[in-house]
Amino acid sequence: MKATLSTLKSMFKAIPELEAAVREDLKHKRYKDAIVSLKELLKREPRRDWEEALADAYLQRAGQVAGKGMYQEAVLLWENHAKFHPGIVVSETYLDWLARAGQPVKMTQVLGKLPEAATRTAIGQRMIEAVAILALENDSLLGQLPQEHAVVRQQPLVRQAIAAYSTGRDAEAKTCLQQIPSRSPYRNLRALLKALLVQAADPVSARAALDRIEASSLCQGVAQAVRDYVASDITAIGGYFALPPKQQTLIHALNGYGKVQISLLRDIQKAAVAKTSKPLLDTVLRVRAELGEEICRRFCLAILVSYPDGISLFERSFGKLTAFETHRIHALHAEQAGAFRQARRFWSQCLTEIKQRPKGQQESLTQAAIMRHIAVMPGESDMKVNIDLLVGSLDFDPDDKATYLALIDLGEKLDEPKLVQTWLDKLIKRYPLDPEALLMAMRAANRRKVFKKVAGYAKTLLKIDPINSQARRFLLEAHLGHARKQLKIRRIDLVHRELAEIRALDPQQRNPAPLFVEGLAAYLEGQHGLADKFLLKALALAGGGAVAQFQFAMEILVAGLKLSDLSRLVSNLDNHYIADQPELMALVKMIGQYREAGQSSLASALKGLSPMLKKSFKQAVLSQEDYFGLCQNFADAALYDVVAECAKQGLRCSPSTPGLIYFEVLAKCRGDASKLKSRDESQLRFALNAAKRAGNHRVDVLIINFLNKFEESRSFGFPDFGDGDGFPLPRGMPGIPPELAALGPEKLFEFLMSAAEIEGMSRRELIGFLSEGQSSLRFQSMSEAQLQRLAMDKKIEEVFRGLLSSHESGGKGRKR
Amino acid sequence: MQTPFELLEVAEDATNEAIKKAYLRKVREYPPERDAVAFQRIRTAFEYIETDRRRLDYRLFHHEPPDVSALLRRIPRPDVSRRPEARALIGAMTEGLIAKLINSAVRP
Repeated sequence: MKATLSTLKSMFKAIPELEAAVREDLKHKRYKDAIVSLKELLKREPRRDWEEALADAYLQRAGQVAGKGMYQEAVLLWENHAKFHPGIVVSETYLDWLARAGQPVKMTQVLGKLPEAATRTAIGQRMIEAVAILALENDSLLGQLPQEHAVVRQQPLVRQAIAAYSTGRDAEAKTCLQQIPSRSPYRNLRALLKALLVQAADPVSARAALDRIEASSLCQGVAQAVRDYVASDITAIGGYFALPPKQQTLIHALNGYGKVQISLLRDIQKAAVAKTSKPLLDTVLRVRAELGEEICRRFCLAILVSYPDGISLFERSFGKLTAFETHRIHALHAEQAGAFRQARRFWSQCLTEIKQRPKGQQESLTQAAIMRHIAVMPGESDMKVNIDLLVGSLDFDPDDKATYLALIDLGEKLDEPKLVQTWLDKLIKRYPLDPEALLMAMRAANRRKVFKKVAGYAKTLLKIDPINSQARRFLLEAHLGHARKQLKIRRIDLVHRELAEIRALDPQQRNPAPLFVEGLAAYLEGQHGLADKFLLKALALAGGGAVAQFQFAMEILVAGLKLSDLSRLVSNLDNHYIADQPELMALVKMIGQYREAGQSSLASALKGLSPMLKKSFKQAVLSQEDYFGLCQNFADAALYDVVAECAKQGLRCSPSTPGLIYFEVLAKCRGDASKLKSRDESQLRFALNAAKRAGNHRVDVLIINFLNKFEESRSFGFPDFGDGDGFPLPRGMPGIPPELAALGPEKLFEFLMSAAEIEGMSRRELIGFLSEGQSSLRFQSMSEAQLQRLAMDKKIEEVFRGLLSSHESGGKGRKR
Repeated sequence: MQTPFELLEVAEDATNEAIKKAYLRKVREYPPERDAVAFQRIRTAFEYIETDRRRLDYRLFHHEPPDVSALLRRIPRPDVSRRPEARALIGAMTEGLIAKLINSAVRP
């Protein structure tokens, strides 16, 4: 009606008016209205420019309606457009619309009229292939093509090949296929038919034929189904069930399925996609005779883990499961559901069941395996239970090395060196020649500085694995450690024995430490000339710089000598010597090595290097991270003077760096939190906030730990309210200082609320704080910004009152 | 899914040596540089059943979901020699052909 009205309106308009309307419509892409106006204009006067405009409007409108899915209309509009351009080459878009409009006959007709060159495009080829295949089912399509068209000419051969294949006349089928040219529209179909022909006798050739099918071919869908079938995988749940019905039918035929088998397949298919496992269990139990008892039993057992309610159904078909098996299924089900407590219970029931069986090796191993399994299961917070389980499992299976290792690991996690050592000893006793055990024992002995043991383990390991570099290193360190020990007690003969062992291990003498020891031994024997020779050689080998000087000083101190005894050799660095970044880092590494070895004279050894270090911190090119690393290492070695200088220089380069502020304060306190001054405390809190803002968790933790220690040292963390002496400290609330507790619930609550507000604590956190008696550290950092957020909360008040009243006053509060 | 025993083609009561031998044979058949996926499957299967303890752990604690595909493969094939009818074959070929053509074509 709208179009008619529009046409009527156009009829009464003058030409200029119509022209203006067309321009306006085209401008606003109202092609439908433009077409009406242009048609009216052409009725009045046949003008070429109006024809051009109309043709273009038809094309544009066709695109518009195709965009709305109206392909039939799009086809008609395109054809109207084409009328103005006789001999126009059919576009792929038009062919696509024909296909989408469900007009294969017309599509074939158009394709038949196209010159061959126009169909050589990828889309053209696919369309010709589509027509060729569709024509096998729809004879009328062939009539739309010229008789000389390849599709028409070669179709009888293809039909004959298919018929021959279907009726088992393979030779005839092969002959027909051989006659199909390689560039034929049927070339992919030919490859598919060839694969079908040979698949039973020669699956490899069949796969090769299938691989020749072009990736863009419309035969690919069926080819994939046949490929899966050839690979015996067509029944794979994802592949087969996703096939369209007729392709499923083809697979049924290839499998030789009859009605019974197809029905079986469909039943399983239906049950497999059900929401629960019950229909599948029911179906498989029903059809087990056809599929085979054993495979169905295994299949159903697998279902039971996710559907243990089906156990009774299963038992009706396959006989009763043992109590052990039933518990096992329930345990696995619970594990799958993440119900580990329940799983532990079921596994424990399994253990009870095994205990009732006659004792045998298999039973013992099963028992041990279950105990190990429970021990590593998540959800048990008490590690002791897991340790007991693992230890218990060894009663049943004492040869399980993994259990010893797990026990050692647990001991390490729990920071229980005794437990670790006990199980290490047991491990090495049980596996005296096991490289893994030896390596672990060696490391542990090294940590305990039992050098003889380290050397013993290392030697055994080197016998088994002569190129084990770790064993070689540990052995060398063990001899060196022992040599130092003997040097300290002036058993020089034994020092030489150890040094001989070291020389045998490192004949090239790449490590300066043994040379230092040898030089010091010579010095103690009064052979000063020889001592100088060794010591100078060692200093040179150590690089001669700050690291060498430090190492030398350390070795002197470790040997129980005084630095002044060898002053002519010590600190012979030039006054202007500056250590660069790599040397400083090497020094830090060396300090770390001595610290790890438990040496305590680090500060004394570094004393002589202090001026050089201070100069180096000032002049070396160091990053913020370098300064931090240096500070951390020197702080670990309790070298606070050096830390102070390093932090100072670091802050000069990068002011307000939270990490360096921390180290500056730490150095001021000499590492002792109780010496923290109030001004430094506020500086630390400033650094803490800055670290938090920057997301610097490492510094954040360092500062919090230090402040916590400070809090602990003060006994309590609230400001002083009077002298505090004699005020009762509520039991179970260690975070509440006695001074505050004495204020009475009302005032104390007010104080806490203010502190919480200022600190920005949530109500939940405050409740946790009150009930757990956490440190009051958090109340120290007060900012006004969050003050307004927290209002008086009834719940907190109730909790607080309850807590305070439930704790009777007891004992005297500790004084600050 | 095949069990590790099926994958390595060994009996469920095979010894450690037999399992190792079967594993090495399979690795020669599917070396990692030629078929990485198959090799990984073989390796995983071997790791499951390499030792007595691992086999025991596999039997006690491993749960493989029910394999519907394996079950479907067991459906009897009474007449494998029978060929699909020409009509069925052509039907499978033409099924959804236009849709495939449309999906592969350019959008206007």
